Amino acid sequence: MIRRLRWWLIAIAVMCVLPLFVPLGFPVSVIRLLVMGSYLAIFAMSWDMMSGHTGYISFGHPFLIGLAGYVTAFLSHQEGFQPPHIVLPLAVTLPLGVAAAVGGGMLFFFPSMRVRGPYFALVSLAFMEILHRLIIAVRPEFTGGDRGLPNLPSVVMGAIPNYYLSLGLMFATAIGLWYVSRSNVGNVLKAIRMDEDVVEASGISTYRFKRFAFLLSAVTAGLGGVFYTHYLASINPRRAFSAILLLDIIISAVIGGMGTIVGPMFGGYFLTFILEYLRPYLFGQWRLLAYALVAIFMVIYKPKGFYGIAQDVASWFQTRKRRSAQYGY
Amino acid sequence: MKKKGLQKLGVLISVVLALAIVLPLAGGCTAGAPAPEEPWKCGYIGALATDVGRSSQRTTQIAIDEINAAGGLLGRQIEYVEADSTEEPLEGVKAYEYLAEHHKVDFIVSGCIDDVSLGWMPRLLEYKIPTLDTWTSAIRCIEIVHDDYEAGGKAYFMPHMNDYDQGAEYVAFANDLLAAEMGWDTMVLYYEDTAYGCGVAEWVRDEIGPGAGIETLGEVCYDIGTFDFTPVYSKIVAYDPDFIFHICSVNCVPPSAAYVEMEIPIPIFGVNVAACSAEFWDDMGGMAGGFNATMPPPTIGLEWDPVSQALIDKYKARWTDRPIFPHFNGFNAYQGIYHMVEAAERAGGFEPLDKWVKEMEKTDQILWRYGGHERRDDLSPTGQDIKWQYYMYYGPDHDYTHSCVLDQTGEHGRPGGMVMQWKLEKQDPLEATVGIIHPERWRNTEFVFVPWIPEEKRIQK
Amino acid sequence: MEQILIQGALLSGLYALIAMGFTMIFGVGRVLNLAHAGYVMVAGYSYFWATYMMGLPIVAGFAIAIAVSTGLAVGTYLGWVRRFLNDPTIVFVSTFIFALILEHVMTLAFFRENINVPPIVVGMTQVMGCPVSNNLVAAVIASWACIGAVLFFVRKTHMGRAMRALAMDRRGAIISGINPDMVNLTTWAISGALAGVAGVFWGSYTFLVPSLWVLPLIMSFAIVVIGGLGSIEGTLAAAHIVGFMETATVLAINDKLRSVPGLVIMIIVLLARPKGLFGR
Repeated sequence: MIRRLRWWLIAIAVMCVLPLFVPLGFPVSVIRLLVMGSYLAIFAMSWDMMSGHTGYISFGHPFLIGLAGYVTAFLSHQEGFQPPHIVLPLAVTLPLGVAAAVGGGMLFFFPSMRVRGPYFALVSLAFMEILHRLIIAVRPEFTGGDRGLPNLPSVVMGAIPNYYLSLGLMFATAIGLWYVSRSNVGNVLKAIRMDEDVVEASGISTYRFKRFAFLLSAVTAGLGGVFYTHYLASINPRRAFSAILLLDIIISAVIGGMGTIVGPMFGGYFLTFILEYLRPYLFGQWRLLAYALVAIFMVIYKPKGFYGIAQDVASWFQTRKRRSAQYGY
Repeated sequence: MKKKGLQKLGVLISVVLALAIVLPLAGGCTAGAPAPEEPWKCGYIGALATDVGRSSQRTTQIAIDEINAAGGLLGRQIEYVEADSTEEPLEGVKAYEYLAEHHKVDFIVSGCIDDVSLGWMPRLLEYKIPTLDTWTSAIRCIEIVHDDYEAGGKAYFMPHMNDYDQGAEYVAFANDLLAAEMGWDTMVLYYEDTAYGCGVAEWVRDEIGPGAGIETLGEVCYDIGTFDFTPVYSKIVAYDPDFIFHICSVNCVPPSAAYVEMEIPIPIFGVNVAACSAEFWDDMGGMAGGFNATMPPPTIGLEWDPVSQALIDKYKARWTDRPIFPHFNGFNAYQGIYHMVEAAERAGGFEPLDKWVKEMEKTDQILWRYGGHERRDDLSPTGQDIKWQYYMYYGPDHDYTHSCVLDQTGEHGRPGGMVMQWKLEKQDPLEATVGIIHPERWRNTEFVFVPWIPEEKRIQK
Repeated sequence: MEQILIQGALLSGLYALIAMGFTMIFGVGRVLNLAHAGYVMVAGYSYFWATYMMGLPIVAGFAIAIAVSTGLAVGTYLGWVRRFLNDPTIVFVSTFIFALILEHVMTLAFFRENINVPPIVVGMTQVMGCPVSNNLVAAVIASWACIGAVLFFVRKTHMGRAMRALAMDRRGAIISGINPDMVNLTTWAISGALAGVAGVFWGSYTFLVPSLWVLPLIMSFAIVVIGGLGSIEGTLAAAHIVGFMETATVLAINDKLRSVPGLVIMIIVLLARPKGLFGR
């Protein structure tokens, strides 16, 4: 067990000591970026659990994230829901948010998994858009309408506490999902991705496996969603249900390598960093354009993502080693 | 052979990736705490692809260049850095963090729209960096400043009027022109669903009825994503009001264009932010004739005081692409930076924050129409200089903490709710295309109706 | 009520035109081209650039818009989609990113401000007591003309029959000597040209903004799914269902819920009859 987890432990150790270097001049801005990266990584892994493994490409992941975020924001923001004027503590609203993501997902999203391929993508996108519209239009005095709910309470303040919080969430999600992905359950899920009918024909109930993958995905999306909302301390429909967030999640997972958990995790950090890295060099829209170009080239030329690249590199080294052992050069 | 090529590509990409992540780390590590002789840093945050963002971005640069040329602040130069917030609240938060932590800026000038400003407000409370917000007038921002004053809200300043004060100005306009001069008494309140639109509408709704004796027949609120205004205008026409009071700031061209294309037979007034930009004529595809807009004072269509005129000249000499003429927030940013820098000079820098905020709250500046910073009666054709612009910030005990004081009494001379109108035919894009129709003392052109307004709908008195 | 009927009919015509190109590509190639709505947006800007900024006549504006969008569509197909016809996920994601790239490029070229395109036909007409803009009527007439032309092409020409054959039975069509690559390319070109016409009219009906593609994309989704992906007749019928529902919602309930009825119908159709109302 320890042996299998040793790379994770090393990664956790490295990430945990990073803030200790802040007094020595390690920039806090990088810590902040790592927080953003962690949340994107959580979302990407959550997407990967459902879509990367089973092949049901979800275009509505922000539905789960936004629903969780809105529930906790709505219950905990300063004015409370009125009347009566009740502001619930975060300890109550956070689990309620996650529960909402799971419940809403099971109620609306999961039944849609009856349809496959692009159809599922369309249904999930439709759910996201419908929720977006409903939040804007129905009782905007409660939901904040187009303007959203500003000034929410924070779970913890400051860069470094938030860093540890997001890191803890991220690693918990990553190791949990990674473990599932490498287990037999993960193998069945990947088999569903290849050919669902064949899996069904071999006597395995794909329904149960899909439900399990979906539940895991919804729980992690909900968890990420509630903490992310309180980290940003405001929520509004344009951000929660934007095509940009959706695209960030999908691109992270795709360029990281779908169905590998580790790939999407790396993809989340990579996207966050590349976008910030370009900021001083490319102005305004050029930066977003460059980002999109990088993404499309990755999708077209490296559909297997960084995970595939890493495998290539590993096999390259192995070939060299073998060759040098054989021929002595 | 192909496999080998792929493997090499893989190695190459991994190296590039590793560099991509490591380089900003290395770059950030060298930037420590600024030494005393290093320049001050001014961060600009805003949507750099919009007219609004570019207006204040450019005037910020002009102001900083001027201050640097005059010897800087307390003997140190000011360095300008910028971050694009786009119109996405999330990007706004990232941009604010970038300025605060990567560049460790001493003060921030923002040209963000409402949602984006509200998005980074929690970060402002955390970092407590002096911030000047030049576009949004959202009352929500001011409420946060008021309620969380000690928690860090005091670092925020708004060098223009907030939603409610603006609403008060529009009520004055409705009183003077629409009720008294035109004799109208019914209207439809027509506004966009943004913090700004709802804030002003709230004020106008509560005040215009009792204040001017104008009855609000109905309200039509539309989403900023609306693309088809036919049903919206059908609803308005069904109310059959004397005039439409329109409030929009984010998405102004589409409703205006639909108004012209549908030839709505009801006069339209109100706040139309796009109509105050020099590009409005072209953005409307040449259909802007007759449009009017109520605006805070710096607007096209008017002669300028020498200070603002100098700013415009510098602006036009330096930039020729859009916006060819700064929006009003450009003037806010320019004046506001001077307030911040002068306060810092008096307080000996931006730290400690309390001291700087105290000095900033003492800002009390009058711009004279003919003399600029000082009164020059000799330059005025009437022999008396006019108070033209007035800057003073509400203190912590006022509800509108740190937004600019509204001077409705006219004691200090702020022109109340100036209304400009586009002439029916385009002439020069900058000159004589627009004119001021209200208030009386600034009027330089007569109000004209667009041709499709029927005679009986025009003047009731 | 009259208003719902008239405006619904007009809006449906425009929707049908946009969704048409979308559905053709799916029918023949079995991939969803999410960049289609991006072509619509770029075509609108090209038309504005040619007629208003360059002062060219309207016909030239149309020609340029159609040329640009056709070029983009053919470029997308030849550029990479051709290689991924058996991997819909890659096409799905990459064309989505491509639409975003088009948005960024247009933002760089024309800024983010809303731009109004002068109407192609000026004026208003009263129909049954409802004001209707002549421009919209012209747009709908043009849409129907285009749709008619496409229907004629698909039914009566050799290439059109090849397209239908490919849509019905890919393997059989290839065995009987149809070059799928050529047919696909033609389909993409036609769909690009349709996007060009749609872009000009959509732009002059609404306004231009670089994010213009999002709403037409979502509406096209709903329409083609309800009608049955790949079915042209279904698309026509579904465009009218969605158009009327939408107009009714906007007029009777709330204009912010504009896209909801179409999407709800789409979900119901997908879960109850995944092939769509007219799909085979």
